[in-house]
Amino acid sequence: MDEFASSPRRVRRCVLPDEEDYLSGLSDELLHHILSFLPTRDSIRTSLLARRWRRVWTSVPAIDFSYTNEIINPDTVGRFLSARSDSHSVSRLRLPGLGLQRIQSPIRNLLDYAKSHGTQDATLHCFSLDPSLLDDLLHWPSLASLNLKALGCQNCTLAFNSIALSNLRTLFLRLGEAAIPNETLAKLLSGCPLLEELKLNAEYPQHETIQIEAPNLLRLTVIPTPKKLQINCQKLVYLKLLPNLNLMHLHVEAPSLTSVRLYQIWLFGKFTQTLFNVIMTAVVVIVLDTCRSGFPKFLKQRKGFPIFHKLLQLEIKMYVTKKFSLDVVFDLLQCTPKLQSLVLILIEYKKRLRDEDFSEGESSSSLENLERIRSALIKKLSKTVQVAVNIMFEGESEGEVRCNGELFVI
Amino acid sequence: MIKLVSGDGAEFEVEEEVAFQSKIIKDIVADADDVIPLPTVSSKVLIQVIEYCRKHAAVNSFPLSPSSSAAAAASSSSSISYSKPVSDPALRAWDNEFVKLNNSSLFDIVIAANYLDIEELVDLVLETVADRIKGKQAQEIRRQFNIENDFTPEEEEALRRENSWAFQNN
Repeated sequence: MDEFASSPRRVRRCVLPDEEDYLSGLSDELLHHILSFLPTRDSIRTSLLARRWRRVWTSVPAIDFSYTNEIINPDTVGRFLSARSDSHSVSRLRLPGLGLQRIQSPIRNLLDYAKSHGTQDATLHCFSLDPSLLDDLLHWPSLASLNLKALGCQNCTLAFNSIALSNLRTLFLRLGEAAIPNETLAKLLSGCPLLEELKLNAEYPQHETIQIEAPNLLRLTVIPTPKKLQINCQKLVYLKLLPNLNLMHLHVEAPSLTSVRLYQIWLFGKFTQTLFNVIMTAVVVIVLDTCRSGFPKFLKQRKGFPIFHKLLQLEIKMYVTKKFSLDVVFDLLQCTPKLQSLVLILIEYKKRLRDEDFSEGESSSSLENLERIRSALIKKLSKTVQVAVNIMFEGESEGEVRCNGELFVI
Repeated sequence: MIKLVSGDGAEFEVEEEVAFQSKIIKDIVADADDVIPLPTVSSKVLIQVIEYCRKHAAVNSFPLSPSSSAAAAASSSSSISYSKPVSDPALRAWDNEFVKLNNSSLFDIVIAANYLDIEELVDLVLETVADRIKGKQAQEIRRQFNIENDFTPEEEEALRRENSWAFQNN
């Protein structure tokens, strides 16, 4: 016990003339930790604060070139890297705004530096992908998380040489119009055997069936899906899909799946059955756009046939205009015989309000809606379903609710 | 229950799962009825740290059941989180309120949290401090944290030149 009580661990209190300067009194380790949350530009700016701060930034375990795309040139990158303390690792590399980068050499220098300093977490947002840069990126055994966005990729087909991402757990790929053939994807997945989370946003060759097979994958997001998709992930618990407009084949083998998030559910057509046969407990988010006719038609075809026959929880997100009908919700509830809980989130379309336009009337109309929904649901629902309803306005972040939701048990 | 004793002698009884938010307490506790003296932590700070641990212990220990997730979604109006406690929007909102403190209180908490090895709390507080530095000029940061500038103007100018790109266009 005494040993613990007297151990100062990592904190060192410096005695300073001005006792109120707590910040400079923190240990180097804590200061590095603070600066690691900042873009490198802000981190370097602290060198001006006082002598104590002059070299603190040189050992920060993160490189983040946010807002500073234009300075990634051979000269500044060279000077930056030589000023850094070489003995300190860089756990995070962020290059979020590479834009139309013509000169690849400073980016390559940063990548090489990060690789040789044990980087685990890399984010690169660039306009287009140089194939050799891509090969560089995918040969990075220390990496645990990679977030790669290259939206300017024109129609091209990706091919990788060799892949060594033996520690990768998280992979986010947004590749614009670049197409990933099945073979390339299979190569990628076998190159990261520990992968736990995959988010994929890309094109796929027209007629190929794309197979996603990853033994350790827990979370998978595919937006949009290829025309033909086969998922075989034994440990998968979470699946999020936005179907291709012309979905032709979907097969899901994921016995551990507990939660599914589906957009434009009517586009899944007959494939909903394959999806819902496997789920015991699921939370399904359906973004309904009641203006479209696809959804009512989809439900009509399935009347009286419980597509969500094992479902316990359902969350429905609905984009609505001022006057809307709850019929689709009731239709959907008829397909969910075992439902225990329903969360209904209504998102109102409206013109962006200026401050002066925002009157009491606006929010009271939403309150009326809430009341209307509540009484409608009470009439229709069975006794065992718990319901929560929320109304939000389009364009607001999900966390903000202007009109408070209400939880009631029927 | 585990008894924590602050530097000024105040005693706090907390449940095991609350105290175990601190890795170091988790490591050293041998008996369920241990008394743990924390001589460098004042009672004022310890109360805040326990408040944080209590909240996080409660959120982390409840796996989502249908009813709790419906309630969580209703109160936060946001989607339900899976297997990632940090991304729970209600907890994040609570954290944001928790760190609305002046600088010296934040530093007291981070020193205690670092000492007790409560990683999430250290991250939370230090990120808050980082937000108070972000995008600001040296002079503003000095004023905010009472940092005394001990450079000569020439030295300052030389430093500015050394990394001129970082000081361009705000």
